[in-house]
Amino acid sequence: MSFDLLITNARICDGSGGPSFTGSVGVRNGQIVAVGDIAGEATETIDAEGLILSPGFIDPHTHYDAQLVWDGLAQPALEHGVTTIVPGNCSLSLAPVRADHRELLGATFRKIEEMPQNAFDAGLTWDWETFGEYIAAIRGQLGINIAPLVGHSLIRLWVMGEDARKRPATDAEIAEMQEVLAECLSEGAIGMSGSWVDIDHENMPVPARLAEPRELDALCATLGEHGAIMQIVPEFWDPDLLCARIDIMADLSRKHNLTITFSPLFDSNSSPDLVDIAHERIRLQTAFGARVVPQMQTRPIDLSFDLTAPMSTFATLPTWWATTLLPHEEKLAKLRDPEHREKLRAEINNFMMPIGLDLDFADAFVKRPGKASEGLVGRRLGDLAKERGCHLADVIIDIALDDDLQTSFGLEALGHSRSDKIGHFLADPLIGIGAGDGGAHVTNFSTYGDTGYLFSKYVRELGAISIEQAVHKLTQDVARIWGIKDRGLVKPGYAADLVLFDPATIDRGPEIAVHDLPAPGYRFIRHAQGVRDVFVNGRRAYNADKGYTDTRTGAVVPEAA
Amino acid sequence: MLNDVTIPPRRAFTQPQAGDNWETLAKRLFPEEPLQEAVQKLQSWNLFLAFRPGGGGMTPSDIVFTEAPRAA
Repeated sequence: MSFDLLITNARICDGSGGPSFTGSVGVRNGQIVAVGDIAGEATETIDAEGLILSPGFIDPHTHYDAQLVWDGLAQPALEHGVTTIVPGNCSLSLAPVRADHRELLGATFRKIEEMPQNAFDAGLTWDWETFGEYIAAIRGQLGINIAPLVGHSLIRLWVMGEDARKRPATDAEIAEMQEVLAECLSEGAIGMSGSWVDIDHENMPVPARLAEPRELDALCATLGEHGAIMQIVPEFWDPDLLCARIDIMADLSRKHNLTITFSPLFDSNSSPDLVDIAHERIRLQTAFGARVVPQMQTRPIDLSFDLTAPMSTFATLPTWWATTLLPHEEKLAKLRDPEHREKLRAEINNFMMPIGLDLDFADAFVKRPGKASEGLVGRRLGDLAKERGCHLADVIIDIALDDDLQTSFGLEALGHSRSDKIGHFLADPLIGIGAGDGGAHVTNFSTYGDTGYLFSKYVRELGAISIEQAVHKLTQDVARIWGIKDRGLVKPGYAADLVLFDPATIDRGPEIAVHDLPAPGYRFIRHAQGVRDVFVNGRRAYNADKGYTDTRTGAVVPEAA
Repeated sequence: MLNDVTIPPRRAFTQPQAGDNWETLAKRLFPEEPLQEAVQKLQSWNLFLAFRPGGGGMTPSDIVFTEAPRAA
């Protein structure tokens, strides 16, 4: 037998969750064609002794929609072993969108997903309107597979125009939305995303939230008819609200024979029993035939903030938020204005925590310094305020002003930090692993490397989940939930999306700032550790020594009809 | 498919109808009670809506609880 690629002596975690075994895998024409004790000629042979060979990981909650226009590899997702991503979550995709609504969509997307405006403006070609045209615009440069969602807010905006932000839809508009959704599904969308939570750049509910229950019901009927999936964001911080939403999702799931996944299922000290309560509700609804699958992320929440732009850190601080929105020179003047500073101090004094986060500005530290603050790296702002005899707000502002606002501050372990509890639920069969947010919040925190963290923290350090089960939860389990066919297993006939990694060292690297946006500025990322090779549809996309390759074998899953 | 499953909610709720506000909801949910008392009761059970920041107000997709929270 001849192969394009033959990987020998690997410890194979085949994605099923069953015991790993030593063997070889043969690949031809982008597919796995043989697994086990095999031999033959091959264009390339890799001796994988000491390494694990697994299916490529599938990341079901990302916002790479914009990045994919200028970076078809979705860096650094690939190097972490992720071979398929789901963009378009939380009611927001980048298509379908009429030319007239690009500015509105851009402002909404940038606010919710915290993307720098200059990168967005410089990187997006906007040479599409329909969903199919967006897919056509990015598909030639894809080095990673995508299973894109179409956003409910986009469908509403397409059909109702600006009224999508203001009122419920008429019967005729709902019928047209169903047609648009069906068209998007035929052009490559795997499902639709929604939100019961998000607010736009003008602090108004996103269009999806203006939908009456009958509109969501109609769209779910269309999804069910097409065997598609729905993702949605519920009020994840409150047990009563979350359970009510689980009940609504369960009814829609049963009625329309539909899988609904929600994200995130988030653990926080502000509601310590929430995950247990939600899990029990899901268990009950599942027993009665619903397919409602929560997504739980692996990493705790760390945040960075600076004063260059509005950031989620200031979500409950309206004066701080408004100040960061100002043009640079005007902002500097405001920050120096004693009267304005008094307002900023008062807001910190009366600070109300953003939902679900244990945020205390006194615990923030100087993270990424400008020239003037280099000597302050790692220093806690609460300590600096005591030393300087001034208010916390003044510490933040003075340090920022000394460096022309270039200093970035950090906050760590703000939520989802109780690893014993989280490990237990990550291993639970009713709970999917996801909600990583890859490609979003790029100047606030790194959304990359959750897969490596699963292995380092929950497999190696805590032993909360076996390595076979961890691989299963990142591969076949996601493919099953999302209806992704022929991926997620190391098995003949399956796509050759494969990862070779060292089980002793796989991890996420430290968070670093990189300057790879299509405009001046930075984003936080984490490089992979312990991942040796990543193959997408049979071709090497990444190697630990050589980096990313020029291969562009990424597919759209499912293929357009 | 189990389409007609009825599982008691953890906490009873409804969703607003088109054009609903606190008064119309209170009239519909508690027709026997004085309007302002019913509104105040409803708002006290739904502080996340009554004190929602920004200009969003109540949306047609919101949850409105129709009973008090359970004791912790």
